[in-house]
Amino acid sequence: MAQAPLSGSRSRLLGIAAVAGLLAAVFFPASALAVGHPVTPPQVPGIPGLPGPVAAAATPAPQGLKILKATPDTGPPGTPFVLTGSGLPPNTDVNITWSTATKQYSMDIVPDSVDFYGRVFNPLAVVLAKGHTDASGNLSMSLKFPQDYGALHDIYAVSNGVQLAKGGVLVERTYDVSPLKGPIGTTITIKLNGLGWLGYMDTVAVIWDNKYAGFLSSVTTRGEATATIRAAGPPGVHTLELVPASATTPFLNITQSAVGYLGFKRYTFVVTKDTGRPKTSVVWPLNLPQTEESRTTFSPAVVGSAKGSLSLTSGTILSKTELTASGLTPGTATIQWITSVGTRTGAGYSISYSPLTNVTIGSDGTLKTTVNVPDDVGGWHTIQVLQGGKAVVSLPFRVDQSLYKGGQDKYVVKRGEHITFHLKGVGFTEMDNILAVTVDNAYIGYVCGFFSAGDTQLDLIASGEPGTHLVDFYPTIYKQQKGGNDIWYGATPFLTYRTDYPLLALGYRLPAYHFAYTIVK
Amino acid sequence: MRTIKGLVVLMTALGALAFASSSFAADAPFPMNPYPGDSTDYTFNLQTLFGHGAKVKPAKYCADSSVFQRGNQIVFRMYIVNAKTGKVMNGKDFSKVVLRVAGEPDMTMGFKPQGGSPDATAPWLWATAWLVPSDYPLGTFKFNIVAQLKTNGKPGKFVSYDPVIPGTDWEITP
Repeated sequence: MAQAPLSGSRSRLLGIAAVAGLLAAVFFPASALAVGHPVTPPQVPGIPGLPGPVAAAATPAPQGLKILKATPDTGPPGTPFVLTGSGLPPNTDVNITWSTATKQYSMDIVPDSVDFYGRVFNPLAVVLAKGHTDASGNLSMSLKFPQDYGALHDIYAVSNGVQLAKGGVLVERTYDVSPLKGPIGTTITIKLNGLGWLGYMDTVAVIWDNKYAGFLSSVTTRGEATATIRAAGPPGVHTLELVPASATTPFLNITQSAVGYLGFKRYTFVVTKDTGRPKTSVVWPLNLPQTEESRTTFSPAVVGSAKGSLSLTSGTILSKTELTASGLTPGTATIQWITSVGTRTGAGYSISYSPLTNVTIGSDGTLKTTVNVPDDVGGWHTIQVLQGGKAVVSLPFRVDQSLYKGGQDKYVVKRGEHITFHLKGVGFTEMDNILAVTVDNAYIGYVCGFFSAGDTQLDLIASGEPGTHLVDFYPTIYKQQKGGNDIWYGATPFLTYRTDYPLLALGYRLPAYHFAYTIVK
Repeated sequence: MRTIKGLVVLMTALGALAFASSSFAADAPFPMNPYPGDSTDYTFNLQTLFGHGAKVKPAKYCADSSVFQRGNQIVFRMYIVNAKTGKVMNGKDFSKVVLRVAGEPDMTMGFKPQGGSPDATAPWLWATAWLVPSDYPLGTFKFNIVAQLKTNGKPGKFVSYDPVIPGTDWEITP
């Protein structure tokens, strides 16, 4: 086994090149070397792009800015409004620009991890419309608030790179929660629109009966956020609150802040009855195109000109994939599995090289063999063909999470009894190594699968009154590295994991798990 | 990330640019944009605070902020310092100091004791107040300050401050 030693701190460099890594580790702390970079998010169906072409840079008029009036100047996306101005140069073409931003996640993709560096945004202006002043220097245009990030937007009338007049509007957020009545386990869909691009504006927390259930975000979805939670018992009236969240946790008195106009929303949900325990379900994210080609553990660099492919490039642990290769040297070869091992609890971690099997290459230099995916951490790994101790074929393979034996050992228990929830293939990056857990929509903590090679078990003490109780596991970010634009606290339920999760750009598919148990007397 | 610039905002290089203007008469219109300049002669140490003349009550009067609601009153107050000599410029040093907010009439800044009360211990500042109109455009708002030096008792050079802090803005909210 050619496993690299674990370092006392970040050991990512050991996996790349031992000598260079050791030298670097001596002279530069890992934290000084690491840096995140913005990653292009995948295009989510139905989510629009920028609401216009990017406007050229402009500067205020030397004679001072006039005022543009927007009527109305407050409303949700799509609100029609009239924009008027006066005292402008007569008979002049103007661009109406709209302040907005592009927003991305910042990540550092290294062999043994993907580190999360937060949200970054790039403020810019787009041309929303083109207008023309009349002979008296007046301007009047009928426009609509575009589907865009919400909150405050500056509007300028610009001519030849000069800002002549300024206005502004508030794009309000909208809420749609449905249904508001149903039995325990009812799936409640929460749709938000008009969330802003700044840190305190792109994240909304869900509170269920004064308990934190998780958060929605619209970082890469231009102000739109959709998620589901399940109605928790007991039968009766429950409260569901949607509160700006900033760092993922609820900002409970947002109205006293500088962004008090964001407000919050409260609903009443009526749990009609307990119809019994819903079946265990696994809900996967949208199948979105991968936009970032870099993968953990993987390097395309190989020796020679051999070619190879896999019949399946993803699967669960213990699944199989057919490896086909040609251009190999007749003789023997080793199939190698590259993964990440270790822990973030102190000892460190690095990539690891494990031989899976030896194979014989025939005189035609081809290979066709079945690779048995190990019981290992999830995420992107590399399957290599080694000859003469060197990689001649290198192929990425993604291990997806899965339930172990249905994911749950007991379904009907008495209060105080233990239930074990069991997952496999939990990953090793900062965005797939843990899952956040809620019980009856109350966040209780997280489970981690890194040190245990993807094996993830939760020993839960059954609590609550007799009846049905819900246990949900959600993707979550372990922690945010320093250097981010706005801090997100880690380990909290990422309810918009299906559309807005950072690792979607890297081709990961991380699900949520929905379990339930019944307490009997 | 937008930053509330609560405390004293020290504006130097970008703000205080001077140019010769001996041809301006005392009551002539102030130039809108006395730029570009090539030297930094004066620093403007500016605070913006919630004033008591508000129609919409702020969270706390006299608190520093760069975010104001429509109906709030914004108090602009500042020191102006000669960056070369360190002299704190007083009422005898300027013939006029004007605050300009986009779309609003010029507002003259007076040299007054802090809080408006003549007290032997009160610091004197250049100050004025602006009641944000109920229909003033939302979002960032732009302002600058132009001051005309008094030289030998006569109006002299203009100096000005144009707040340019990358990534930050003063803001009007609903």
